[in-house]
Amino acid sequence: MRSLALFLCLLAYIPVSFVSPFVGVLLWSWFSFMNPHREAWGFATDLPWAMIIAVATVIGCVVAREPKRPRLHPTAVTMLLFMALFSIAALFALAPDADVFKKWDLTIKVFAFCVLTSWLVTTRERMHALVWVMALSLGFYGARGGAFALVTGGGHRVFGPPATMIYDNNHIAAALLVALPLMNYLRLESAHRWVRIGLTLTMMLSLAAVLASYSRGALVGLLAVAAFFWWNSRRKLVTLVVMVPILALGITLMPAQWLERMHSIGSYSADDSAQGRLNIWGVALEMAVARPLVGGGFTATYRQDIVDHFGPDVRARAVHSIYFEVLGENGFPAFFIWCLMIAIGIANTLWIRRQCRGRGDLEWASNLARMAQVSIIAYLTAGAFLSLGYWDFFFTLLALLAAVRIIVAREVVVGTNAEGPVMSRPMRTRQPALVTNRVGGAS
Amino acid sequence: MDALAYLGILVAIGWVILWHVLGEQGRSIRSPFDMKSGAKTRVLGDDAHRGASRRRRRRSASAPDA
Repeated sequence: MRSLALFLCLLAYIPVSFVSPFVGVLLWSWFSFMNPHREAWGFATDLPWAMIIAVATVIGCVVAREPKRPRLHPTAVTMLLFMALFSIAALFALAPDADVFKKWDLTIKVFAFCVLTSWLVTTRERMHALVWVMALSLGFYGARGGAFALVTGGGHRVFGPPATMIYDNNHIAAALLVALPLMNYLRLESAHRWVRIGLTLTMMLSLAAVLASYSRGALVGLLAVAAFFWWNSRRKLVTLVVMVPILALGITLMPAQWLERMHSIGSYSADDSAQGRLNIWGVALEMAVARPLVGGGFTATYRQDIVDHFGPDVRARAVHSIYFEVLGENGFPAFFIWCLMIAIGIANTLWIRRQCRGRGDLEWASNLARMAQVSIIAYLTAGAFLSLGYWDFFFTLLALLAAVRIIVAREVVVGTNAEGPVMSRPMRTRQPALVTNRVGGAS
Repeated sequence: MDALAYLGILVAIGWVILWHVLGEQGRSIRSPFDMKSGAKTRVLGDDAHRGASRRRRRRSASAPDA
């Protein structure tokens, strides 16, 4: 039944990608973030949907009547550089080619589509549609996980969809933490009251799912996100009055075994799981120091023979840290570019917020940048204990920010030309390449 | 319940796509994804938008108060 429904829907949706490649980006994002075919349990599960969507989108990019002048903005440049660097690292990887190129194949697709996304998000409406797809994709698991947590009283762990990047309980918790601010952005920007109520409920359930994941990394991330969210909120007192009781209620309703697990954060040296992570971080660092330009290559820390070479008596496993994962697998140059990519994302949020100050018509962009900052904080804190260094959802968010910066630059230039100077400080931006021959505006 | 939520997601994604495609053609539908405020952004040089502008101009020209 689900399989048939998915098949029929995609039969209708995919052909649209030939005419409007951005629909292909929406579908690709949906499949990457939610993996709806994994929930279909039938013939539709094993069909190569991602490849079909990718082919339709690429053909759409060539044949559709869209402006074809891709802009090499800093986010796209760093993503392309990162792709080149991890591809070189893959050529010198220590693990067998089959394992390495399986991960390389996944990772290169993630970043290629992120670059394409940043080029195709050319309007506020496209950005809004993509944020909806992102929120719906993870909101589905958040609502389901939250409902499961309420029914079981938090007695069982919440896991993500099987055979995906976010199956692990730690990963789904971090993913929901990153998605929560985007749901809040939609709540702020949605016109309909019932949609706002629905989003608020989904956020509450997602929060319950984060707690019921029993992830200690996610709890650290949640506290960081809550603090940053409060610091960034316009009505600090109201936010504090709402947020503290919700968090306190959530934590007090969790069972004793949850509290016991969270208390073990303070005694990490006596915890095998935490100690194992510290050991594998050491191995990843050793790998990067021994091979500074290319690291150990993809999946190196999963092989005992390779781990033994860098850290005897350390068990081969996932690195469990976005930082050590990227550093150990790809070396220092790729790690530097990866950090730069995130730094550019942060800079974009700051720039957007600064340019939108006092502009009521651009409040949506300011809200998105504000919420994206919270998402970035969630990823950088919860990710310190997780292997999500190449997570498509987060890098799509960075691509989206780059696109929104271009949209805002265009709107600010148009606003300045049409209504006189409205900015508190002079603009320091070039006219975006995607805007051409605007009637009555800057050209 | 889970199956209903899954079907809901399929419909919602379809609705987002329809909202986007019709919106780009200059035809709007009432949808849960409607935005609260702010001016719509446009990219000129994009034929779909040029078509939409033409349609809008034609409509406003034929309107009785034009």
